[in-house]
Amino acid sequence: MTIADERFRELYDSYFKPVHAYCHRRTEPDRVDDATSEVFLVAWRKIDQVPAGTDALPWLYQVAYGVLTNVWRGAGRQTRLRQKLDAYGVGTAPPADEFVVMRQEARQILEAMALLKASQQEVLRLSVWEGLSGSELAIALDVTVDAAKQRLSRARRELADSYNRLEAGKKPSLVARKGGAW
Amino acid sequence: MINEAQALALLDEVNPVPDLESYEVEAAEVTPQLTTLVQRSSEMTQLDTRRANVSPRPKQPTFWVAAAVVIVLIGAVALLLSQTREVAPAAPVAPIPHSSSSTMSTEGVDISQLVDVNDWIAYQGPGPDGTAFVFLVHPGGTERHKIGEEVGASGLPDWSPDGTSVIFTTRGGVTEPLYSYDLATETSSEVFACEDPCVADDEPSYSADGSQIVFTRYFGPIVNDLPSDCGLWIGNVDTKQVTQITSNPGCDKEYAPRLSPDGTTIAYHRYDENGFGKRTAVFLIDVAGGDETQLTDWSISAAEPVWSPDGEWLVVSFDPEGIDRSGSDLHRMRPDGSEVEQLTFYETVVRRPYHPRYTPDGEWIVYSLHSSAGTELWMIPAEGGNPVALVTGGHFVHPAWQPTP
Repeated sequence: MTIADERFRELYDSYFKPVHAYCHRRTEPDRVDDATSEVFLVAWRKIDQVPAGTDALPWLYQVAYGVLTNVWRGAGRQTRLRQKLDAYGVGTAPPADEFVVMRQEARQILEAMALLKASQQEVLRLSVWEGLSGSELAIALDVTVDAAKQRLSRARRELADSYNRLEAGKKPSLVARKGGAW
Repeated sequence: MINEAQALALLDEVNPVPDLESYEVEAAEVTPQLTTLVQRSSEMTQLDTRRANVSPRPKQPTFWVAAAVVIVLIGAVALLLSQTREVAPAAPVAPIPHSSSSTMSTEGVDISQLVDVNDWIAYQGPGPDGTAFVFLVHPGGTERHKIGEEVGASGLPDWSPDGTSVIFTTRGGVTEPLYSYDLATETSSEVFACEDPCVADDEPSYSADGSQIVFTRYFGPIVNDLPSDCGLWIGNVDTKQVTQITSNPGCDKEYAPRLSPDGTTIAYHRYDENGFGKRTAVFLIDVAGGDETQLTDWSISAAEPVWSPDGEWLVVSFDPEGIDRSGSDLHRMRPDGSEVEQLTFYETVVRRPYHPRYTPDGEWIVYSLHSSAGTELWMIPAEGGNPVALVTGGHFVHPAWQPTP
């Protein structure tokens, strides 16, 4: 087995799960496996460019973002995005679950996210969902650490503003029965 | 208004894969296949190297063959894994024949040694289109079936103390009254009249002797999509007479009311309207009305109090909505708020126990356990102890255990 082979297997063993989760968080369930495979195919092709150590993961996220962007572009990004949002309840009736207030806010934060630029959405997801640090964000976004931090800071502010604008414009619902245990 | 930190906390809440540890895609499972793949690719690489000594041109095409193999094999492995992955709630439940029964829990505990597996558990679950309905299921997950379907969407079930009927709330229609489903006749009937200005009744719960039902009522007119008044009510099962206990103009109301076994006190939770809108606290009020007593601090976000059958304890969900991200668990306390004891020890926000209810004999506490895999029914001994899975593979909330008819 060559060094490149060993490196690839190590990469796959270590990061298949987080990369799969990354894709799961961003696309439809039926696309997750294909997208994950594509990411590792790219990693195989570019094995010499994969950063060493834990920096490999944000690099894989950068690749995954590109793969998913192409998926969305090919299939009609807005439609796909809408489907994804629908999967979390945006634009649909809330699922038969326990706390409606939580669902309303969850839906509203997703709506607020959808109003941000794609790059802002991604830096927020990478920070909050994938838990990347500033230097890891820089690798995933392929920018300097300072630029990554600035992008995150701006995105955080815009997310809160976007949420509050939605909040100011919405009406409470009888059906939701604020805070009800439905 | 929310600030940046609150916005990020909300975003974290909607993470489709909140916990990578419990995300069941095991790379380790594919190692044998991957080893084969790498060995094959290694052989190809060695072959390519030998060829390269003769001519540099063949290397690239052979590499692409290897890459194609990588795609196919990784895709196949991923497809194989997808057959066993549990990352989404299971499909809506359908009736399951009794012959498929299993009383073994996921931990290998024989449930039939602990409880009567012929009892029913009423719960709220999703129908095929996501609409909520009330279902019955035996401990172990057998004979699941919908009840009261003819009255439309339904939920929040509670058993009559004699175990012969299930009361539940409804959604849809001009008004939304409470209904009761009779197990013997398999029919549902309206419990209390809900006529103008009543627009809906909600969250019903029987008194221990079965003579009364405490519930919440919504009054019109609807202003800005909100009822003008909401509050606690109590109704007599035989006479159908209802009595108002509290009034909350603007509908900042009480939730999940439960009558104490002696019928004198109602426990419930309400939301802190001065906070972020999600923090809750547990309160008590005399069944005749008057001032309410706050039992828990807002900072705990306690909710869903339920009385032990002897009235000595209240079981309460601490932070059932996972607001603080520091863990949600069931606790019990004396009705004066003293002697708080932790009963479950999940201590994580990604597995949250809530909707606790005592079994009628007071020996167990059944509850819903929410995780990325769904919302399952579990139980623990009333004094605390090891959790036992009752019904898994779906979405089961608001469980209520049938008293022995």
